[in-house]
Amino acid sequence: MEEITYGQAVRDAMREEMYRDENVFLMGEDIGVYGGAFGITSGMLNEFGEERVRDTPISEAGFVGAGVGAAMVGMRPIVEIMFSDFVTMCFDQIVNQAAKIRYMLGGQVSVPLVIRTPGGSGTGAAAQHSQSLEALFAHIPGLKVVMPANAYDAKGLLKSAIRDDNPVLFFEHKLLYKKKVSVPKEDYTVPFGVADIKRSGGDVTIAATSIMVSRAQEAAEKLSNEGIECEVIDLRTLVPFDRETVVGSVKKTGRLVIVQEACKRGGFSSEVAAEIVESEAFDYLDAPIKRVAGKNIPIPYCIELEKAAVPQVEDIITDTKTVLY
Amino acid sequence: MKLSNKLKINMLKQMLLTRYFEEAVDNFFSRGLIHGTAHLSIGEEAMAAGPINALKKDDLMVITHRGHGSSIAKGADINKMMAELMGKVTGYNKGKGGSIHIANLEQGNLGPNGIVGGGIPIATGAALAQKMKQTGRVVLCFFGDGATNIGVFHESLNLASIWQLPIVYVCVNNQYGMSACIGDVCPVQNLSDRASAYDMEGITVDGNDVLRLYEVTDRAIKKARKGEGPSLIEGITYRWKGHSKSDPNLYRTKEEMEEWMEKCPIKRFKEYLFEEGVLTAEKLNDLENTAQKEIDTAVEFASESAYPGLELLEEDLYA
Amino acid sequence: MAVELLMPKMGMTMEEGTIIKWHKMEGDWLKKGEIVLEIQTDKVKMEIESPEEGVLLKVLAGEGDVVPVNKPIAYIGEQGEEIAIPETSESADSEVAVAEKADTSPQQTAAGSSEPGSKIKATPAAKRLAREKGIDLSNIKPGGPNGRVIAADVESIKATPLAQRIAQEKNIDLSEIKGSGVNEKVRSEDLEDKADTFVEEIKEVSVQPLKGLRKVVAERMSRSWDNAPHASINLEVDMSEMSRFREKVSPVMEKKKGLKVSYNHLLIRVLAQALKDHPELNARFIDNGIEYCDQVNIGIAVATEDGLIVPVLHGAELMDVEQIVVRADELIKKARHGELVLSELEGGSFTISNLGMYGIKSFTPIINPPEVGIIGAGAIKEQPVVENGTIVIKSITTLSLSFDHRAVDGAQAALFLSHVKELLEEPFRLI
Repeated sequence: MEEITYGQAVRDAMREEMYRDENVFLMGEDIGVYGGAFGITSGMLNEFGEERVRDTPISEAGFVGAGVGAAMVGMRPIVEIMFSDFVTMCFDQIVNQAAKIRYMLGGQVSVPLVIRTPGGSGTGAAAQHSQSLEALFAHIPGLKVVMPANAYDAKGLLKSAIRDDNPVLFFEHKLLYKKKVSVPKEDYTVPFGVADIKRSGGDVTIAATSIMVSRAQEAAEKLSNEGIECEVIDLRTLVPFDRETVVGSVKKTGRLVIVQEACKRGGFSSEVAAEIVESEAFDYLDAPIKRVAGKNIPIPYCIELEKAAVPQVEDIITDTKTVLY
Repeated sequence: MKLSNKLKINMLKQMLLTRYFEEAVDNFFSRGLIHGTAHLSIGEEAMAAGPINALKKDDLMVITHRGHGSSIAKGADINKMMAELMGKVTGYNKGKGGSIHIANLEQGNLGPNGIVGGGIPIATGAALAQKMKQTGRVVLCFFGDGATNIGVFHESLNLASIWQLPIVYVCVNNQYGMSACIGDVCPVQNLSDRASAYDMEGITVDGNDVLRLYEVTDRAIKKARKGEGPSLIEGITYRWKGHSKSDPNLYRTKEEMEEWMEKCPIKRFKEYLFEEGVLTAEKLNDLENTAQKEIDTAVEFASESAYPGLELLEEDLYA
Repeated sequence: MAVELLMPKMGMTMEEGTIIKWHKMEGDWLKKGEIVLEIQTDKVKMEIESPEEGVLLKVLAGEGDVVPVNKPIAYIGEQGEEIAIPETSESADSEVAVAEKADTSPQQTAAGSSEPGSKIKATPAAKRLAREKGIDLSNIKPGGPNGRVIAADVESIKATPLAQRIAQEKNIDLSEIKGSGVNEKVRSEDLEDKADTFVEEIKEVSVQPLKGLRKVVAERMSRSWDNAPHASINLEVDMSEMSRFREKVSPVMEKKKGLKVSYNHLLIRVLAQALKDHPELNARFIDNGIEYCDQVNIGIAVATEDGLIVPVLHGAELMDVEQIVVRADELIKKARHGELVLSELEGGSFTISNLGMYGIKSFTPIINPPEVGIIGAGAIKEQPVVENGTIVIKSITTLSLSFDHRAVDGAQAALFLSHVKELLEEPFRLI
């Protein structure tokens, strides 16, 4: 085992897969000499050369589309979008091309493309560099959507993503890049469609993604001191969604709180809530399902407002208590 | 340059097949026999037969939504094309794509795109892959005049140029987008001039001269294959039918259409071949009958094929 | 014109039937001959077919209801037809009950904000628990926000259904009562001082009314005991020879028919012969006269899930052991699966009841009317017996014969029973 940061975990996953499979290569802005805006690809240009670590011009549509084309003919590109907000620049390539080509062509081809991108707020980057847009892609059939919450899951999930023959949106979080966790040195993967119960408890289920997982864990610690035992579930992959684990937990606790950083309206927690209501867990709900989410606003610049725009630990505690009675 | 008679006859055959195919499709649509819509390339046959015959068998291509002729020129199975148009399970895409998604990966046809210009970055990426894997293959990328205005056109040509990719961009300038006349939406006279913005060679030729098209494309392909980078070829042509089946052609005049129909690429090529003694009346008759028969067979095949069952509804979504 | 569907009279003795299951609902389209419902008569379950094609306009009685024969249970006609249903006393009662409930419900609501007559608010978990426990949600004081009943509220209800009902009608808050039952469960007695006289009236309701087969058996037993003066005689029988015989014959039967030979089968064979020789026991007491049966039709008492059923093995006097084994087993199987037809339940001339498998030594069987005799067989036990001055171990069983003294005298009964004993102890006499 070794203790590594989330950022290191992402890098190691890519490196190891690039050694494993010569068809894997990287494209993105400033990923070469600069090492990527968040330093994730640092050192990789030296290690793999400029054929396989390609700096691109500022042309998201162009190079993501090129990623689609290369994937169709046998390559396994990993494309970095510098800030997840920029997915809007290549929305057509992801939604109309990558997601649909296999289906439209009757299965003649697959598109093994990974698009990895950091999302989330907290760095004072303001509205156009701080969004959480995973719900947009969870809605598109043909895509897979992944949100690792720690270094262990980041490495294992990214490897799975690279080995997956489908287009995968891999949403990292800027504030998590420096967080360390123990990770095995040997090769391992984390499967898609399997949520992780990060903490067991019988009083209430808290399902969360990305950075909200650690905030939920903190909230659970504090609530435990008050005699409330929370079960914290890290969803890990939105598509495919591990319905079974959440259903099983809600049947046990009878209460569900879902935490996301993204704006509440139309967010993925709404999907989770609906799935639970449609499942056998419905008859076990002893309180309404509670979504704890970002406010329906663009992310503001100044620190206090920026914090207030998204759920903090205290918000999770307060909101969880509303379903405990 | 010296082209074999065999090749020339083959080109003519492809153009005839395309013409008859499109006419058959046009006919079915008018009679309400086909779902959705189709974009017919009647009048643009040379723009497919010319450039595509310059490709090697294992070269790749990306085509436009008006791409039936391109698929035919690359050697597609007409039966499977017609079946796909009719939404049958025996079609290239199991009936799930329709006219604007007919692809044939086995023959290197990465297919058309329903998004204008959508195929351009894809072709560019495919060319990148050929370079990285050093396959020696070239990618031919077709798009229309309207697509030269979309962002990805510029982003892709830029990428192809900086990375010196083995790709030849072919612009089928039929002078109209859907209804927009090219002069109204493009400030430059020759679209091939746009190549220079990317330090790329560009050339504009008569898009109804199949041999001329063959010639310039061949040159560009050879250059790309040698690793000397991409080119942009513009062919000036005209589409006889509306943009799609719902187009009443209000944006162009009858005179203009008639003028261009006179310049029919098939007519011109036939005349040339007669002059050169490559074609005889008998041979022509033979070719025309064979082509028509192939189309008739395809129609029969497609009509008798089954639709995809409901069990295919959610298939082929994820690999 | 709407047609009445009546409770049919199936069989001479049938006076009423119980509705077991409606296969169709009001509003359903019926084809002629389609099964509409299932009823239970005093002997069997029956499916009732629709006499007409039409819509099931109205259902007058529900599952579990007992309806006299030839009374209407439903109406069949054309969609939207008006039916004039005769006023019955039951409908008047139900109106009163509804009025009572309407009075009590406004006071029943708790601190929450639900208004009189409004829907009960309860979480899905609370509803499920209430369902599982058979608790009426309207009896529960909501403890959740917005007047919502939550799971904890349901879980805290520890009261018998009777206590809950009383509490509801008398407006008593169950959470204020200390329960005297298991785990402090509130019982109706605990509500006595609050509910006073009401408790006695309600107590009747907790009695399970007689219905179905239980009712039938109750009536028959009552009638039998009342009408026929029962006398009973007992005799011990040495079953050693019969035991040996059975041991030999059962494997043969198993090989041939896949069926084992039981003591009961052999007893039936013996009885069949004995009854032929003693016709005064093979008789039925009918309308103050005695009908001597020309066939020996032996009723076999079978204990089923629903109760006691006695299928009849007709013509036993003509059957050999093999035929008896096959037919008896068939009848018992059908009895257990509720598949007997009417003819298999009628025409008995004598009955055998065997409680031996329960280890019972002897018992006094009650005659199956209108027969005049019944034999009860007990368990076969190894007992010490004096023979030729020494004690030997023998397999002994006790047979009890109950007989209707109006038709049979003691001496006749004794002779008959001795003959049965003789046949059992010396099976060679069965030729």
